[in-house]
Amino acid sequence: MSLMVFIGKKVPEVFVVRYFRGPEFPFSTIEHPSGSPATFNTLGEFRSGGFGWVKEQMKIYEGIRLSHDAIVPVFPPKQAKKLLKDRDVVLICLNDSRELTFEPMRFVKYDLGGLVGLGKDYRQTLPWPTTSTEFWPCFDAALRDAS
Amino acid sequence: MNTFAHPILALWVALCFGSPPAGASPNYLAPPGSAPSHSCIYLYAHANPVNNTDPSGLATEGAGGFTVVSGGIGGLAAHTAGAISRGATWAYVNSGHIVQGAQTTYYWATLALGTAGAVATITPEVLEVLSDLSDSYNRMATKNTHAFPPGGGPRGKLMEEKVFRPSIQQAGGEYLGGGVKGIDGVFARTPGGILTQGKSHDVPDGRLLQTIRQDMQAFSTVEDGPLTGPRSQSVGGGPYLRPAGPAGGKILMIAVPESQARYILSPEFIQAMRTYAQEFRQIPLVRAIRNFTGLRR
Repeated sequence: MSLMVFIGKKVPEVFVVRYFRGPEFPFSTIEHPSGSPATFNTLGEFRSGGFGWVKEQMKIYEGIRLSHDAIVPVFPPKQAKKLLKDRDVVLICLNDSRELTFEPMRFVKYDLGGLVGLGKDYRQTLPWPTTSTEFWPCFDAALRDAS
Repeated sequence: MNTFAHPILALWVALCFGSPPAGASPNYLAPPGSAPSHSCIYLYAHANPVNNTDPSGLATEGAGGFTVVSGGIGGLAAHTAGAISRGATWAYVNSGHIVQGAQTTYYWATLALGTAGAVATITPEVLEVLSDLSDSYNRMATKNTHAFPPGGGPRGKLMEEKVFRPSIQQAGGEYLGGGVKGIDGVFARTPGGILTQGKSHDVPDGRLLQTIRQDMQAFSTVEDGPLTGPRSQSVGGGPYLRPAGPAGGKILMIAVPESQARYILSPEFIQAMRTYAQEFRQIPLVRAIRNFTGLRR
């Protein structure tokens, strides 16, 4: 149950890739990105409606298990590098312990499989559910570290 | 230092009964009627390797003692659950094989990890996965027909596809593959999953322990952060994500050339594996791979 948020460095747009749990039971720990990213025209737009949207996504995702056959590629073939370049990246995860974590990420390769976290010293954590008042400072701190 | 004609028997006796007496004959096993130590949960060939054989290494404890079970390693799961309920914990840290001419001999060495830390870490679910994975890995290692090139080069990915992938999948895990970093497979049996990674090494005996220790050190930090990677093309490709968080257990699969089959049976090697398992809270499964000849040394 994760959302990878890509914030443009040179362009204002923000897009969010959604990760779905796999079909493995009883405990699915591997998630797969699938479907078109959700897009916001600016960081301001994401900021104004983003928290409600995140809450909605987390609620929807709880009941979803995506089989491997149902995975839809996020990017058209060979477009990943072009679309991912010049972006800051923040990963938002809701884990089984009902904690929301914000992890600044960096690319080792311009691909969704080529991202690494900056580490626990940079990770922000909140109990879930939370409020927008608590959400945004954590997101902003992670974004600062990712920049 | 033992004097046994057959290294498997030497190891078995050392594990179950301690060191042989000085001047023991090459075929010394143990005094008739002597009981094995408690650290020998599995008795090779019904505790009578002279008259019996146990080519698959499958055994379990029956009401009347130890009986060989045919039909698979599943019996070992119940066996390990029994071990846990008695307050003991065990790790099958090595299951090697020796190839001598046309004859292949298998054995299971069962070692106790008797520390409180190990008890807290190695759960029955991990032991069950370990049993299944150990069994499938043993099959893949001994039946492999693919000739692996010695030295470096593309061996890592080949080993993943030819040995690690079928081993993980046959044991009920999800194979991810996709290179040599991070993890190669996950077993969805516990929160956080039981993670596995495969490594192959063609290094001299003198460097193998150090190399495996480095692998285990790196593997010990793998769940500290989110993990992304590309899935192997053989399982559909595409990126995946494992969010940060503790794993239910970790099993490191290590492949070595068949020329090192004897070395991985040595007490020095097995003792080191036991020490590393305790230090890094993960279990190494070391196999010599048939048709992986390795560099001439």
